[in-house]
Amino acid sequence: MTAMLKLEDISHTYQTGEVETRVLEGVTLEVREGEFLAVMGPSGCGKSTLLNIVGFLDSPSSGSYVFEGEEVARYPEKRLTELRRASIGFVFQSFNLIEDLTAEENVEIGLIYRRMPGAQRRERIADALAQVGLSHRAGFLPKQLSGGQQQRVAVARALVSNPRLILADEPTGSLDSANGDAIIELLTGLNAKGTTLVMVTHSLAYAAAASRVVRMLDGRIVSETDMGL
Amino acid sequence: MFRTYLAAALRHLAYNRLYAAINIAGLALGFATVILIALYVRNELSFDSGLPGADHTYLAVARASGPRGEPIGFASTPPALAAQLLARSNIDAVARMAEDQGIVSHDGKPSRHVENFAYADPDIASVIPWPALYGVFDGALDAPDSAVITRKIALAYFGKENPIGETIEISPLSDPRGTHSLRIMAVLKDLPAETTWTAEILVSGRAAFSTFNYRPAWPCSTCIGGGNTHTYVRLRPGTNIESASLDLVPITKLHQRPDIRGMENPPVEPSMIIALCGVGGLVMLIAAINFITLFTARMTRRLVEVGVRKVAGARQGDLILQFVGENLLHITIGLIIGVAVVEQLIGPMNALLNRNIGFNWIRDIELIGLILLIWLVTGALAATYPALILSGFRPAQVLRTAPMVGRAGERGRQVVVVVQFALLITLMICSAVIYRQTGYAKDAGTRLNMDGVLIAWTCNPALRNEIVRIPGVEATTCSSWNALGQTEMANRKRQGPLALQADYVDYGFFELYGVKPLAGRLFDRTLPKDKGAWDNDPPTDDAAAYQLRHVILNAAAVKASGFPSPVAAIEKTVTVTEGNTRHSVQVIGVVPDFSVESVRQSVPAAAFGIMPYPMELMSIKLRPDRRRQTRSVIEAVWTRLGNQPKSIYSLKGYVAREFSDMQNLSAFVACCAGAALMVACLGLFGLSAVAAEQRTREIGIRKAMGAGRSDIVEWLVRRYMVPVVAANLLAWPIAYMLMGQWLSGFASHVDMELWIFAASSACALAIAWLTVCLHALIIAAGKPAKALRYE
Ligand SMILES: Nc1ncnc2c1ncn2[C@@H]1O[C@H](COP(=O)(O)OP(=O)(O)O)[C@@H](O)[C@H]1O
Ligand SMILES: [Mg+2]
Repeated sequence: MTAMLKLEDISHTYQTGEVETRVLEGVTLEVREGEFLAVMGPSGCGKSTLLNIVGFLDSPSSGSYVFEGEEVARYPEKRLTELRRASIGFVFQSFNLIEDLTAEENVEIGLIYRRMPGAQRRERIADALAQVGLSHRAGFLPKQLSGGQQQRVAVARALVSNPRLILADEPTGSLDSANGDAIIELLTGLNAKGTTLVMVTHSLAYAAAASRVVRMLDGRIVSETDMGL
Repeated sequence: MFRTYLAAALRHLAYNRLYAAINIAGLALGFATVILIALYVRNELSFDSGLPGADHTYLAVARASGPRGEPIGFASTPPALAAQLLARSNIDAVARMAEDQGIVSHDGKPSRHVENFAYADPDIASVIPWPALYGVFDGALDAPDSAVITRKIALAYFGKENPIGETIEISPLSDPRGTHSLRIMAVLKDLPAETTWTAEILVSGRAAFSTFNYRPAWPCSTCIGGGNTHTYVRLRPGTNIESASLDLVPITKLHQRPDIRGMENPPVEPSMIIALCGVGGLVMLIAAINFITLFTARMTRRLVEVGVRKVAGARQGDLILQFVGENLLHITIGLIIGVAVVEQLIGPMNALLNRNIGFNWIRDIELIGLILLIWLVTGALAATYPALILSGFRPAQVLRTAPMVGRAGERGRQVVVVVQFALLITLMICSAVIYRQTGYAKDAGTRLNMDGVLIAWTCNPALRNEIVRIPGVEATTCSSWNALGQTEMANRKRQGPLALQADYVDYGFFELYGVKPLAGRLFDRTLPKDKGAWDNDPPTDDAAAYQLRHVILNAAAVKASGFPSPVAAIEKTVTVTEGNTRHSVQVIGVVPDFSVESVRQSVPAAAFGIMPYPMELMSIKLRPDRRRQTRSVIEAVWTRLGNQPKSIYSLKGYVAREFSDMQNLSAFVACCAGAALMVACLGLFGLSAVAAEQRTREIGIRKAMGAGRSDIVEWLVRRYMVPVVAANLLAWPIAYMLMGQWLSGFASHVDMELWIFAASSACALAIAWLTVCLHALIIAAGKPAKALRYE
């Protein structure tokens, strides 16, 4: 399998006032086309930061990041936005739905910046909601949905644009196990259809579904386990 | 306990520098504006109360009625009135003052400009005992050749403060009665700016050339009701005078009586004062709205803090104390800065308005009262509002589950933004209309073509002949000043058939000023009857009267005489008054209404006629090119013929000076409106900051979903279009009504044009875009990862 993206010797620091926090330290990681990579590690070890860098939400302080053959580590914000628009879908732990938009409209946010004709857009949204089993809740506001349903809306929002890479940051963290299982089922289903998936999780059971697991500690990758196929 | 709250308040202030800065700046600007307006209005209302004995001093005002029958008063009264009043038992003293203009010189060095001086009865020192620095005011004017000057005049002409015993020469301008030498008997303290008494040179009323004693040989057209003699009266305390034809107006009230005509220092347009108070009220309203919305916004950010404190056992009272304390801190800092700003601005304001307003916040009890009142009122607001909010507060609600992307209080803030923008747009429209109206007053409003016209205070035929021959001069004409600046004369309508006031002009007067006849014709040199004649030609005695035969009416006179149209008046006979006589004349033409005063008062009915002897005013129309050179040639001719320099003015400049008080006040109103605008903008900036901050997470999400910077900015801007459009719907009718009301106070005024409204709205939109874009740019430019982490 070919590499989709390649991080090499990535370091990242946050500047908060006078204090400089070093969050990532010499991280080298390769994600292959179509694989399911699970990232594990204690709270605060830098998993979200890593995911943000992979998803172009942040640029690394140093190191190299090659995405589909392009060196993107020093790209300006504008190019990063284009890349993100073209290839990435996000799922967050805290759902991050917009409170006063309906489920349908929240899903639409995943498409709205991709400039697509209205009819085609509506079709895609209906499809996405059907995939997560929420067609009957399309007109509901987030606060009228359960936590599991809200996260399924978030998954629909991530997949509606047919991204090649989905980044999920503890997608089950705020959910009970039944709802969590449903979300993992959705995500693995997408992966089976060819979408590359990188997921941060604390659950060994969910990590077991992955093709590869990396473990982090204090901003470094300490182990890499190929789950074997 | 108090210390922890103070610490929390100070720390909060430090952490929320942006809000604190916006809040305090808005409050400071608002306070400063209100204090300045209050100081000015108080000054305006305290006119003449600085004169000693002002409480018992009155001006005799003649009762009359205006063109629409409304009661008006004339500050000028017949010189003989003083003697009649003195016969009354309840009067302590009476003195007359009559202003005149003249060239003043000392040691052969003439004044650089025409000086105002006044003839005054010696008793003026008992009616208004203004303190003297040198000499004794009382009795100083007893001798016919005596004069009293202020310190300012002493320094200007003698170069020293005490020229007692030296002489000064005065040549009155309005008619060449020669030069008179006067002995300085006393030097007075400089007059306050806030007085209706403006002359700084007092000439003894016993002088033979004073208007009290001098009877001009021809009808004095500048004299209103027997010369511009003002009769001041000091009443015995506790008494008053009843008279059918006379009002005694306390001098402290004179400046608030726009119905009294003929004051040297005219009362300020009451509409301006109203506009100013309105702006002051608006500033306070806007500042209060800002304060409340910013507080609410800060509250929503700090709800978790409130919740946690409540859970930890804080009582309602403790929390209210905390927030009230914080708000009071802001208000107090704002007030201190505001006072400092006033300290800085009081000088420029005095210069602009030609006043001498003091700002003494240590000794001025009223001022301290005002500042305390502002502090108390805003403080009360700051105290009750948090109490209201906190009383309806449930901690469980706030400390709920995972945070959502919040838009708490969004609806309320939208309303505030709409109101804020509406106020902003209203203010812009109003300032623009006020500014345009004052500009109109001194130019187009006169309905005269004043372009390139010079005026000179003499129409000496020899001089005029010389001036006509200068190549750059297109035309000259003579007239009385009243023909140009027609002011209301005492109307004697009630005592008989309507008689029109006669104003004197020369051939070519209407042509020079571009006035075209509405009907009939203008005066023609070849027709002898167009010119008046002596009733017993040639004049043999003093009582000989000069009589007009043909006149041209203005439109107001056509209406007043009851003719249905200008054409209907042609060839008809009307009655005119000239001096003390009235007689019939024939109408040969009708011209539109015009007057350099026409903005302040409606143009009175007038009949224009031609008289054969020199008049007081020469109008000189210059050719369009090389006007400056032509003017210096004229001045050279003027000097050569023995007249003094500098009594030639550009008519436009002269009129502009006449209206400068109004213009400067309108500039002040505009400045205050500008301050209000700034306060409103600060508020909007704060609100958009709150909104943008609340949306930070939403922006993060949108960016994660692929939104670029421009998408975010566009999205925010579109959200702000709605309130601006709503604000326009609110502001336009309000501004239209307000300004319609204000403009109706003028006899002649500008139209409210659509473009003013459109431009104000465009401005508001631009301001909205600017603030939002600024914010959106700051947020949208950041890495989205940061925004997503935001809670
Ligand atoms: N924007 C930021 N500014 C400062 N420190 C941050 C920021 N984001 C994360 N951190 C710090 O970086 C470290 C790693 O954070 P994160 O990547 O979110 O960890 P994880 O997702 O593994 O829990 C933490 O100590 C966190 O406090
Ligand atoms: Mg994390």
